[in-house]
Amino acid sequence: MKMNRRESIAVIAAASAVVAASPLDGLVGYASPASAPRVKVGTKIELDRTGRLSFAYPTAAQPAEAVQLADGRIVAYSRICTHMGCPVDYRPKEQSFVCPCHQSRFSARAKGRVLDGPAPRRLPEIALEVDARGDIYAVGISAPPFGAAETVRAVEAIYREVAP
Amino acid sequence: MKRSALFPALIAAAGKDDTREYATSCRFCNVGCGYRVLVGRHLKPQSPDLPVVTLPDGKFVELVPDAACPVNQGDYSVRGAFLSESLYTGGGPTSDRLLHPMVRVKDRLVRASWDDALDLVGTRLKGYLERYGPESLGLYHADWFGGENAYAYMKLAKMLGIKNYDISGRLCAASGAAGLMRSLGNGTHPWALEDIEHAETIVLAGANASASLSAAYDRVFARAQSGGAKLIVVDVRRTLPARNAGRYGMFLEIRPGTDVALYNAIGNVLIAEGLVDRAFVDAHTADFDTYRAFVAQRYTPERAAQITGLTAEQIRQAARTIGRSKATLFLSGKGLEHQAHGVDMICSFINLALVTGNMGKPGGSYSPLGGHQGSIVNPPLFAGQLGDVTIPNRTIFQMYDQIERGTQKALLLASVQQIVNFPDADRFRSILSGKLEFLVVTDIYPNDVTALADVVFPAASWGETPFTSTNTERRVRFYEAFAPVPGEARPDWVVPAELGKRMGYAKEFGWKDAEQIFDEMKTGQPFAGLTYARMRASKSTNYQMPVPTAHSEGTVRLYTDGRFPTPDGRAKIWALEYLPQPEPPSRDYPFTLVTGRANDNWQSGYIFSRTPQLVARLPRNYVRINPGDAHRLGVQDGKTVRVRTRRGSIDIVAHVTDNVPPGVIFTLWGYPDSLTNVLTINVRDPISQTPCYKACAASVERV
Ligand code: SF4
Ligand code: FES
Repeated sequence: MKMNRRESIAVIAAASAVVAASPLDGLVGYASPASAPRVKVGTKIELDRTGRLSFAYPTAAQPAEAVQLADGRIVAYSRICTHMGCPVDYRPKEQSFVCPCHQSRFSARAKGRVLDGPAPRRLPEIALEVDARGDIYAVGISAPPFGAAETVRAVEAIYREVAP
Repeated sequence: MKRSALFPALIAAAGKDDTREYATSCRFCNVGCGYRVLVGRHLKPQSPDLPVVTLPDGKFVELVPDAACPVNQGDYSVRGAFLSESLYTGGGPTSDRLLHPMVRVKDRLVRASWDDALDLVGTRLKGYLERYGPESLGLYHADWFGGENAYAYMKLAKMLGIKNYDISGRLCAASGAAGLMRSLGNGTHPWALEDIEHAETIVLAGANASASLSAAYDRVFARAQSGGAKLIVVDVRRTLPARNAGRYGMFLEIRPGTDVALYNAIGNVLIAEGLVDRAFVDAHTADFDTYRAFVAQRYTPERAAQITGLTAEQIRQAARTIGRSKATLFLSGKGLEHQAHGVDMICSFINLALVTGNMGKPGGSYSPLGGHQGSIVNPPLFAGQLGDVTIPNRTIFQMYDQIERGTQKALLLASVQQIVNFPDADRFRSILSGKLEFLVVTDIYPNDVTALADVVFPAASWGETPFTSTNTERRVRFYEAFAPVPGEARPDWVVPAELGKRMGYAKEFGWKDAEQIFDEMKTGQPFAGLTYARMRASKSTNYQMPVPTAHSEGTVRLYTDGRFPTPDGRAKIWALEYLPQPEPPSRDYPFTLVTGRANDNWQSGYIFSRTPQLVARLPRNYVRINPGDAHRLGVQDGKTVRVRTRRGSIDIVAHVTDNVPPGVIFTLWGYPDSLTNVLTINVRDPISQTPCYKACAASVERV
C-alpha cells in the first residue's frame, strides 16, 4: 500500500490534534513534517519477506519498527515504551507491541493506543512514505518518543540541521 | 530509563527562583508509590512524559515517580501517571469541586458560611443528643484520607459517646484485617515489599494485582520473569497474573468461592509429604494437631478437586512447590475478602504460611494486598493500632438498620460515597433518602450523597492539606501540601473539630493544624517516633511502622522472633470447613456474577471520571462473558445485554472473552454511573461484616 505525501501529513495532523488537546501545546510543532527528518526504513520487498523492518527514528538512538498488518497496511511505531522506556516487541498474531518490562500493550492497528498496562500514552506513530521504487521512508512522528527532556533537545538539534 | 531520570534536567530548566520541591505519595492504591513534586512559576512543559498542570495561583506543578523511594523505585501505574491532572486548577475536568459550604433550604442546597453551617449542624446534633441520646447519631468516614482526619472523628465520637461509628474499610479491608487478627493476633500487615525479591515462590490468591496494585505486581512479575521465584496464581478469571503464572509457575483456575477447600487440601499434602516446618510449628503456633487431623480426614486432594474444579494432581503440585521453597510469600486480594466467608478464606490461607514457617522471614510472609492506603489510626476492628482512642463501634450496616427503624436520626459522612459502593445499592438509597432525618456530608465533589444531604462541607484534599496514611508494608506515607486549597474548602478534620468546640469541648479540639493533631495522636502508637519534620526530611521513603522512638529507623517486617501478639504468644492454625456460596446459580440465574477492579479506574471512579485520558481508555463499564456462553445466548461482543439478579438489573455492554470461564460473568465493581451494586447481594461475612461482592447468581439476556 502506498501512502503519498498528503496522506502522511493527514496522519501527522490527526496525531497533532491529540497532542494539542493535552496540556502540551508547546509540542505541536514537534511533529511538523517540514522539520521532520526523512529516514530510509527499507524496501517493500524486504518487508514482504520478513513482515517487519527495524530502523531508528527520529534520531539514530531511537529504535522504531515498521510492520505490515493483516489487512496489508504498513505502519510504523517508536519502539520505546512510553511507560519507562523499555524496547517493546511486536506480536504479529495480536498485531500489538508488548513491553517486556511491565507488560504494557499497544495496538499496531489503532494508532499505538494503549490496550493494557501502565503506559500513560500511545506509542508514537511514525508516518511513512513508499515511493515508486518500493522504498519506504519515515517522514514524521505523531509525538516525541519516550525520553522527554534530553530527547527533545537532541531531536531539536537535528531538526535545526534538517530544517531549511 | 526511568521517568524520574528526567527530573534533574527539569529542575535545571525550571530556574532557581521560586521553584520548590516537595515529597508525596500517590493518592490511590495501597502500594503507595513515592513521588517528587516540583512547584514553581517557571516550569515549562517539557515533554509528554512530564505532564505539567497550572494551578489556580498561576504556578506550574509536575509530579514524577521517585526513583529513590524503595516502594516503587521510579515505577508507577497508569492511575498514578495522571496524578497531577487530579489537582484543582480552577477550570477543566476538576472544576466541579465543592468550594463552599451549603445548607438545604426546602429542596435546594444554598451557599452558606462555614460558621452558619457549623452552627446549624451543632444545634441539630445537640438537639438529638438531648432528646434521644448518642444512639441517635452516627459517623462514617473514609479510612484512606489520613490519620489526622480519622483521629478528629474518633475523638468526636469518644467525647459525645457515639457508638455508631465505622470506616470505609468495612467494604474493603475488614476481612483481611480480621483474618490477620484471628490468626496472628493483630490486624496489621506483617510483610515488606522487599520480601518479593527474597521469595522463591509467590502465591497470589484472588488478586488481579497487575490491575489493582500495579507497581507491587511489577516487582512480582520481574521476580518471576528472572527465574527467581515460581508464581502460583489462584483465581476464577484468566487475568494477566494468571497468564503470567501459566508461564512462570502455575495457574490454579478455581471455582468461585471454593478457596477454603483448596488451601485445606494443600495443607493436607504438605503434612502428608513431610513438607511442614516442624520446628516453627512447635515453637510458634497453636492447634496444629487439630488442623492435621481435620485436613487429613476431610480435605484430601481428591475431595478438594471435586469442590474447586482443579485436579488432585494440580493441588499436589502446588503444595510441593510451596513446601520445597526456602521462602514462600502468600499474598491475597479482594477475591478472598469480598466473600460471604472471607475471614475463613484468609485464615485458611494464612494456615499455609504458618505450617511452612513462612512468617517474619525474608521472602516468607503473608499479607492481604489491600485497596486504598489505610489510616494510621483506626477504630477497633482494625485493632492493634489503637492507642487510647477506643470506640465500641457499630457497623455502617447496623446504622442503616437503625435508620430504617427510626432510632438513628443523623449521619455524618466524610469522603465516602455510599450508594454506588453498597451491595443491593437501591435499598440503601431509599433508606438514606426516605428514613434519615439529618445527613451531613463532607467531600470534594458533588456525588450521590451530597445530593441527599442537609448540609455539605467542602473538603481540602490530597496535595492541598498535609496528612499521613500507611501502605501495605506499614510504610508511613506523608502527603505534603503543595497546591492552594480550592475556594473555602478546609481539611476534613476541621468539621469534627469545630463541631466538638460547639458541643462543649473547646479545649479538646483546639488544634491549629494537622501537625498538632499528629503530635497528639501519636502517643502510644506505632508511629510515636515520627514528627512532620522527620517525615519531611525522609522524603517519600519515610519509615515502616513500628517506629517507636525518635531514634528508631522503623521495622522492615513483623514477627521476626516468632512471637505473636496473642495471649499465648503463638499464631493460631484454624480448622475451617469450606462453606458454599450464599446464592448458588439456579435455572433462572445460571451465572455466577463476579465483580472487581480495572487497571485504569480507581474504585468508584471519583478521580478517574475527571481524568479524560483514563476515561478514554475505559469509556464504559462492561460485562465479560465466555464465548461459549455468549454463543448459546446469542450475545455479541460490543452489544448491550441486560444483567439481572434477584435484586435488580442493569444494561451493559458485553465483552465476549475467554478471560472468564464458562458460567462466570465479570463486571466492574465501581464504574461511575454504572450501578453494578444494584446487582450484588447484601450478604456479609459474619465476622468482618464485609459484603460478598464477589459472587451472586445472575442471568444475561439480549436487549
Ligand atoms: S501502583 Fe498504586 S500507588 Fe503506585 S502509582 Fe499506581 S495507583 Fe498509585
Ligand atoms: S517500560 Fe514498558 S511497561 Fe514499563
